[in-house]
Amino acid sequence: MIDLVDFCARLSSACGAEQLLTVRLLQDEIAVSLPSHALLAAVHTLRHEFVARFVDLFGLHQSASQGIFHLHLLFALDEEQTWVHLQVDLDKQTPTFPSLVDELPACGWYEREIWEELGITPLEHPLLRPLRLAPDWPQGVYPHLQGFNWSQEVPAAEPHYFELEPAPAGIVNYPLGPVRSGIVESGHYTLRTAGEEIVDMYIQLFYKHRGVEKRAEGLPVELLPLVAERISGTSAFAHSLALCQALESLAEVEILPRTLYLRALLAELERLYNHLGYQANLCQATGLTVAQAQFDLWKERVLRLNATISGHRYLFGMNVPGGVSRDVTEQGQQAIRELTVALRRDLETLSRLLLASSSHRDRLETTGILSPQDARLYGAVGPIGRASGVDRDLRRDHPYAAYADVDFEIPALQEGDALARTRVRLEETTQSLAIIDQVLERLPGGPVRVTIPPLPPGRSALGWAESARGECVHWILAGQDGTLQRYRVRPASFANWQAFSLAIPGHNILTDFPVIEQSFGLSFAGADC
Amino acid sequence: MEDPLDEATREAAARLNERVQRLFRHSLHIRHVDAGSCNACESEIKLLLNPYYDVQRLGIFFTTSPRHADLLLVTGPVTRAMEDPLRQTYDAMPDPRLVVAVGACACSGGIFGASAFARAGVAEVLPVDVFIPGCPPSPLTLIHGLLLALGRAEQRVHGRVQRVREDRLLQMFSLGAGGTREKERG
Amino acid sequence: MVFSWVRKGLRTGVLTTRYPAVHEQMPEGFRGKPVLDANRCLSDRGCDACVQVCLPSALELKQVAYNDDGGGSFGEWQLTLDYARCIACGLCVTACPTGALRMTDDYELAARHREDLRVVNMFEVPTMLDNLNGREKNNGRPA
Repeated sequence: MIDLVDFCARLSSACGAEQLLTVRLLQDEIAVSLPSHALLAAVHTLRHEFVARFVDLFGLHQSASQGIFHLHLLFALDEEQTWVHLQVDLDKQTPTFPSLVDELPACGWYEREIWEELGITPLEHPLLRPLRLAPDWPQGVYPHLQGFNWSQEVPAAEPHYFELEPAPAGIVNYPLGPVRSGIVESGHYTLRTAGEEIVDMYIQLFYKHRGVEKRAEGLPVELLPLVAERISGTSAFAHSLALCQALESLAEVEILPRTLYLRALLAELERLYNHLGYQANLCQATGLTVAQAQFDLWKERVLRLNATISGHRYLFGMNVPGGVSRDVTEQGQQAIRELTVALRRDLETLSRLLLASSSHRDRLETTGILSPQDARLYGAVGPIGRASGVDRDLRRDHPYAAYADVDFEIPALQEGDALARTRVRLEETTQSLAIIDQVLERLPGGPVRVTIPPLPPGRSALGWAESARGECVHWILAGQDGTLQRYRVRPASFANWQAFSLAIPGHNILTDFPVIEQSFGLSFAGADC
Repeated sequence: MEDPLDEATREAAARLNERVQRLFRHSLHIRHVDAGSCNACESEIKLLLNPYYDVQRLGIFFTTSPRHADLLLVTGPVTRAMEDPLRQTYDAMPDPRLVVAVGACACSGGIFGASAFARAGVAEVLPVDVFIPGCPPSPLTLIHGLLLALGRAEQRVHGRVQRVREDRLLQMFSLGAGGTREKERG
Repeated sequence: MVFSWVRKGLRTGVLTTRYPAVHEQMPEGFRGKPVLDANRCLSDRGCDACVQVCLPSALELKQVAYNDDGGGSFGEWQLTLDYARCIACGLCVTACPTGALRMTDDYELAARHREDLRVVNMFEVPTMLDNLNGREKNNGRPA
């Protein structure tokens, strides 16, 4: 655990002692309030002296009547299992802050989001333009300001589209999307090719922005998990788990032992079907159709198991504030055991065949390399980060549910190519099976749910979970009436998409593109939410 | 776009459906468009091609070009940014064509409903031939819905207005004692 | 290598479902479609437990007012269950105090028309509108 006094002293002296306002330790979170002129120094110190990892940056309109704006920055001190949460008060009349993009390239998207949702300007941001909001969203309408109503009508303005600068001679623009080939989510890529080789790529996401964060505001607490589940349906359990843990943290409720184990069990089932589906998608991209069918069969079997245990193929409805909504019976546990035994045996064969199939392997090796440096700078998380040397996993570094009680390894590689991403996920699948075995073996008895008291007004809390695609971090602020005033979600895919565009240029040809895309296996819904 | 159907329109729609079904009955090509789903619907749709469900055995195929498509399968509530691409995809499809809304979001807006960010479902943008509820609808639900669109399956849900009579009250009062309700009803 | 994959595929055998020729059963507890037994429902007696927990507003309760010529305003309560909005979360089933709502594993939910997905229960119990403060009122005639 981090020495709080030491931390205070070092951070203060970096910013200038009198500028540091407060430091509070809430459970795993050190909360620091700063004035905005100390921000750059604080971020620099955190990154270089403390080796903190940037996680999230978002804004908050605290009060319509008093016009108070806050900036929130979240860093992870993984070695100390702690989060550092900076809060900066901004000027009421002209809320601005110095852009952090030079220091932290990963901040680019987050700053644009704050600007379009709240009207807070990041000074000297290199390319300030809307991020999530649709092209026909009118200027000057800020959806995260207090008083903006979820269902209010926002008339369509003249659509503004971002124009790429014209391609130089000999370079061809290859636009794909948002309606793309296959049964895929909507999103737009513009590839720039010189002959066969891709020299650049530009991504345009956020076609699927539904305003999930706004939807959660003012809802009764028991309905909030329904919203969290639908941030990204294939990470439903992870997102609802992060939310419920945040609510439980806020209400200061202790969770029952059996709940903790069941949550780990169900989270691993979600990871399993995602990783199996990922392999199927990648085999589809390389044309290995029998392998695709085999992995799709396994994904289907896990989904059916989910339906047997939870009544829903994607485990919707299992996480509730205070626990899980239903127990996993002896029968359910037996069904899980049978599946894991069969899967473990088959996975050995399938992995061996997969990695030995040169038609598949050759297309993955050295394709779509995300360098460890880029992965670190742009905040790649999850198996994508771990395949590029970012050896971080919330289950080990900030344990939640029952993960502190079970033994497992976190595979990490350095190559950063599509093959590394495949191998990391194959190994994670094996580790998931090991975790499930241990959880079933040590499952404590007892009830699975406690009631949580009404949320204390004005308090905030963090919740997190490692989904199949990486770390999902949620932050909630309780309003005066026991509902949420603000719900902030940072899904794994939002962080990973920025890293994706860096993996495309550099000795990749046009036909590598589907392979690279599938090897990342990202969720548009998660990023857009 | 939710105008109630009058008798003449219903008849015309039924006749058109018959013609369409004769054409596509055993060979249907589907173009899927994601208009803002959470991804669970896409996952279920993709699984239709796995060996367990194998919709190709039913003559149902997925195509990438809207110009080759007979049926537009839409997921998501239709976000602001996807409204135009969705319309353009529909416009690119030759007649006759069908539109099927998949999932609660596409049928009605789901948990989102009408908002500043999205519409309350596909019917606000395009004429919908079949609504497939669910969150997400399972592959079997999808198969039933697609076959319904082709006239090869029966519709099993029927909207209705039912009047609950006053004398139900007599039955209600006995509920408190627990278990007496069955006796009353006999 | 190709031969190894072919062998693997052949050994897996045929797993394809025979649906729709043979009806497939969902596992027990599968959340397919909730069903309302109006005879057990108390929504005309002041209960709105299910409506409170329905996030997509699939369950909606309103009072349809009408004037009878004997003076005084009366209304009929109307509970609508709209399957196009339902996400089969099951919270209504848990919240219902009388067990009027129960979850079924029915998965054949598709319909041609939006109205086919709405079940409207009208409670023929004329209730004085004035007695019910804060409930939604509606000036229409009963269907």
